[in-house]
Amino acid sequence: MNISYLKNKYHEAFIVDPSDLGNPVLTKVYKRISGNLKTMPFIYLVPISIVIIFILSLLFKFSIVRIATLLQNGF
Amino acid sequence: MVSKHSPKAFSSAVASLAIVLRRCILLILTPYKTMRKISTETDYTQLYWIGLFIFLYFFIIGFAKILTFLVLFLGTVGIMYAVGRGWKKVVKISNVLFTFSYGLLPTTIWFYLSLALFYLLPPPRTPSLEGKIFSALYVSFSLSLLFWKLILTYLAIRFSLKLGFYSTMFTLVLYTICILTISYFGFALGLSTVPFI
Repeated sequence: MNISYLKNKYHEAFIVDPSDLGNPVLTKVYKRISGNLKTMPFIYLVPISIVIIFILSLLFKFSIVRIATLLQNGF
Repeated sequence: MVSKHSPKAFSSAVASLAIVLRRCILLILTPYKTMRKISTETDYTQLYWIGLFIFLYFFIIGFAKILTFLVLFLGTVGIMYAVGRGWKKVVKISNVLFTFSYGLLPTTIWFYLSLALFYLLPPPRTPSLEGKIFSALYVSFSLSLLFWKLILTYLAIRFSLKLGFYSTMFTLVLYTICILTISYFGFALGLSTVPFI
């Protein structure tokens, strides 16, 4: 293993303690999710957002057009 | 260095201001007579005063927005610092300031995007197919930026306050509630619809 990689990991651990959720299963799930979001989070965020908006518009029948208008007037 | 003509220029400017104020009242009382007199006016200083009043309005409106942002941002930094001290952590104010300043990136992108789209595709959106597709994309992208913002805020809290997962989440939830409450009052007072934070 590369020495600079180890140094980097040591430095990270020095800044902040590694996350521990108190339960090994929860910690594993957290590490898996956060691991995916650490680099290029938009690969996941954009499709998730599209799916959420699609499901919400189907479930609650809210007008996506009205929300877009409200947001566009909101800046 | 003060010019020797300064006192004269100053008194002339004050006289012009007095005329402007007087005419404002006269325009209410006797508009016909006053406007006829105004039509023969040659004192350009009066135009500067009128311009200054108008500029002052836009300055105050802009200033109110800047002040809202400053209160929200500096309030955020202050609250986070206090929270960090509350958790008995050694917190540097510079760490909070830097992480939360960079945390404004999603907000800034969203506001610039909305500004550009406001002029390129002005609201209201139509319920046509194109309108629905654009609305879905715009709202989805806004939601993605909101998620990104939440991730950056989580990381800002975690790294600047050096907290564990539960403490960070607790602080994040409290912070979100605070921002939503302040936003509601900002919206009710007409200061901003979407807060710049």
